[in-house]
Amino acid sequence: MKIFIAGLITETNTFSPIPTGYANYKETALYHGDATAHASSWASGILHRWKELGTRDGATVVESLFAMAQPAGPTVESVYSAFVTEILDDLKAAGPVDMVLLSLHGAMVVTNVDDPEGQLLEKIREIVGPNIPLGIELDSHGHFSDRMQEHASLAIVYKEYPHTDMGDRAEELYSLCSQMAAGTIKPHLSVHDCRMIGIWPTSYEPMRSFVTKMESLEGQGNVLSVSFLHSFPWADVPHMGAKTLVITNDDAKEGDRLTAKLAEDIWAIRHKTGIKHHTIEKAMAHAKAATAHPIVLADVADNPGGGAAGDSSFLLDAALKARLERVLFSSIWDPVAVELCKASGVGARLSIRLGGKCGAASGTPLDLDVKVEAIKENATQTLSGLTIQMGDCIRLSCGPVDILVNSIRTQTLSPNILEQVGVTASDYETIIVKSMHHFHAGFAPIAADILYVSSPGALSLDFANIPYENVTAPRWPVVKDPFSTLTERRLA
Amino acid sequence: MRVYIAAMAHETNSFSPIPTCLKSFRDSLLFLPEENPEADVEKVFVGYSDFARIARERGHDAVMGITAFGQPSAPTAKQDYEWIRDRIVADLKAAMPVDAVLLMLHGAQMAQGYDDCEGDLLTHIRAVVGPDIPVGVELDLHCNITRTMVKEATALVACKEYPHTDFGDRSVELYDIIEGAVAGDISPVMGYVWLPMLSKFHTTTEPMLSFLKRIREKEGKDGILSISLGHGFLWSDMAESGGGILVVADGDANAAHQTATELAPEFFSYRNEVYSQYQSIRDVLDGAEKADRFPTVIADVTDNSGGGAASDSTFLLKEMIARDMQDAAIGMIWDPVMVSIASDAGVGTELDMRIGGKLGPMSGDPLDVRALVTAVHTNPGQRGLDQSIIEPFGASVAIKVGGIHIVLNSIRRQVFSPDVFTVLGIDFDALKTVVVKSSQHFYAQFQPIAAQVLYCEAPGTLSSDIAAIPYTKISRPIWPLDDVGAPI
Repeated sequence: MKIFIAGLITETNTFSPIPTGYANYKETALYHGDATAHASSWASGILHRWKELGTRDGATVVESLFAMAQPAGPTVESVYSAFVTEILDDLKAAGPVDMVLLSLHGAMVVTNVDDPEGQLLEKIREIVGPNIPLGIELDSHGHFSDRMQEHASLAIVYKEYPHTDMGDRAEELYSLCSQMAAGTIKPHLSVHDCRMIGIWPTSYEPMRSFVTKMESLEGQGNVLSVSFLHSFPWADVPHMGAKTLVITNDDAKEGDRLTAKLAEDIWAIRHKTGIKHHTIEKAMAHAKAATAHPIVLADVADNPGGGAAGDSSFLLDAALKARLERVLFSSIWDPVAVELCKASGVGARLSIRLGGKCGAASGTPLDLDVKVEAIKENATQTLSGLTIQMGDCIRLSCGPVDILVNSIRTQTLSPNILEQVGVTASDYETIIVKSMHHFHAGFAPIAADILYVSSPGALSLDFANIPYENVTAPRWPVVKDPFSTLTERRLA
Repeated sequence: MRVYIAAMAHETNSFSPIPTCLKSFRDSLLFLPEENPEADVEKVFVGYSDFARIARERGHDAVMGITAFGQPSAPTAKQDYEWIRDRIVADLKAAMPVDAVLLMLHGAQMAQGYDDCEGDLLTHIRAVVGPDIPVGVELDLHCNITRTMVKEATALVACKEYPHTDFGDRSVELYDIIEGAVAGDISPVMGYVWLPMLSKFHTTTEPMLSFLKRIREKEGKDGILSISLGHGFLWSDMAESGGGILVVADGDANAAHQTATELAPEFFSYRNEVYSQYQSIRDVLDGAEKADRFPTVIADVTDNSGGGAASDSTFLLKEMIARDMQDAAIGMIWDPVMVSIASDAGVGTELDMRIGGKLGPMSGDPLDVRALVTAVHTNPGQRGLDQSIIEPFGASVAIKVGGIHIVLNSIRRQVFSPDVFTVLGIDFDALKTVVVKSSQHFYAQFQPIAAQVLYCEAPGTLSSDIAAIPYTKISRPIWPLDDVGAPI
């Protein structure tokens, strides 16, 4: 048994001011066949899991590229092409393989290539032929194109947002592909377009029950796997949009019925899902009036994990003007300011220009008189046991507001970053994090309350007004009833 | 003759937004001999390397200490300056006994808790060698010479030219004086007259050209060994900031003082010459647009990183874009994050970028532009003041906004050479207007190829609006803040 594994992961925000080139992959994670020889980080954990399972089963595991970039704008075409060539060359060099497992995102966009994952799968299929199991694990925020469906044998999507279940999904994909390779199952992949744009945190109801329901359907009858692919709203590509995916054991009819039924269910709860968000003014008023602390405010529009710059100043400015007490702001991405603060040293007072440095979506830079309170080189956060690099991290104080400034563009995921700069969550009445929702896993246990704040930025939650040019199929909430214009009938 | 040689140089701008620590020196030039046992000490740093070469040529025993040079910025962190000082002193102690000490210093270095770093260092040096060992110091002419420096050193010699093209000659001059003192052939003494002026002087044009010529004629005669003009560094906020004339004479302190006193009124009378050349943004751009011979070279003097500015101000560029200038170029805007973003995007990519204006109010507003990336370079360099030395200016990109080429870089440096543009693929000969962030050092390499040179006084860290500089320590009265009348 020979298993070929590889990973190519980035979530492309086509509205991001920051292009994605080689340096972004190099800084985030880039391994040429030896990712599993290094500590597991974020999605490289998936390759670790496959390697362990393959080794356990006595298979030869041929490991190829693992490349991951912090979300930003489209990947530069030459960089993508080099990655594809490397994977294909490794695959050819490996000789005949019994199965191929890929860790992809689904929402990668390349300059001049709308569907790079589909293109990669097509080229792999050309090499391995029609019958070899080709399994892909996708991010909840991936897209799923017809071309991906045509060439992948199996596709499994993370069920959880925050993505705390990548390892479990990796194991399922391995298991199903192994059974397919052994000839004990004959998987069929059904896909249904929900005709919706949105985000679906799974931390609370009604999505919590929806995830439980998907899990309970697995193993019933011929149903092998059930996925809900949320897609990524900030991508102007034709195949963007939520989809349901079901893998059956050779039961296309059941798969098609179930995907449609699940899409119905998602449609039915559409007004109860998503992120309830507040204006900056309301969020500040709420934080000021709160009696239980800390209140956690999510600066969703400037989430670096969704391709934003991570240096917008809207909420920081508002927090300073609202005269909130004991505030922590995490974080402003500003490598130059980090160097200046390191040069000044702990205890130094300086006038510094912070934030608003990457483009209009970053807001106006703020000129602040600050004190350097703490410097932590090579700061990290942990999420689900994985380590995420923050770069060098500085804690500044500006009156009642503490500001973290860091050098690697990353969302705030976990309160353990606070400990590294000498504070804890209970020191603060209000904690502001740049993150869409991943922070929820780590911060919910310590938060008295959580509010999502819709600031301006690269990740507007006003989906109906995102200036799409290539998303032409009718989708809610851009149109109220996307089904009315279709000839196909919804299930009753 | 056994001589101990070391260098410490930092031009300190009390009002710079850029803080300074040991790492700032490391990023510029911190040469520790034990870290570079194979390095050629004759190619490390001005003065320091000259002394090493002269010692070898004359068969002297040179003990090479460290060189610590930092790109101009704010006062150095206390413990970091002390580290440098203590290292230089410790190396000297280890080298003892020596016949002489030769130091390359700046003359306008400040640290937190030390307004006069050179005076402090020389006090420590003198304590080690005792009163009789000659200590020679070469200085940058942008120095604020202090009483402590004059008291503790045997001879001070500053460079005479701005741009500073004569460090090599001054090194020989100082070495000769110190060697003569060691041999007992001469007995150097100094006379110093401080002048109450916060000013700048260009030595490439009149009246300074002729003044320097007359000064050179006095040297080597009547027991006068060396005459230095301290131009001062007006952004060092300390009690002895100002201009001055320093004369080294052989044995006759009165003659030294007399000569300095005689020259003082003339030097003082030239205090407004440079300022009178400065023009507004509107006037320099009008001047460039009206020109019929090219290129016009415009110095963005207030944002010169060589004086401690951030080198990312946008005042001139904003107006150039508003005028939709064609065949124009500006360099270098220090913006490492935009360099990495544009580099990652690659040549040929069009990007929406926010450039410049990142360090503080003196940087102006950042500009949102639609830019075409025309060149990416990971390690470009330019010919420095010593044109045989290529000085790196960090990963850089050239972008084009309308008809304006813009060089963004990642190591904060002033523009010395047209190389800044040409190594990034910009056709210099096709340019009609070139804006350089430099006060005067650019002049050496740009003047020969410029149709005209204009100096622009934009807002900025090195503003000549001296009344607006928030001094707390300078001595008053002082020109131009006060009516000082005749200085002597």
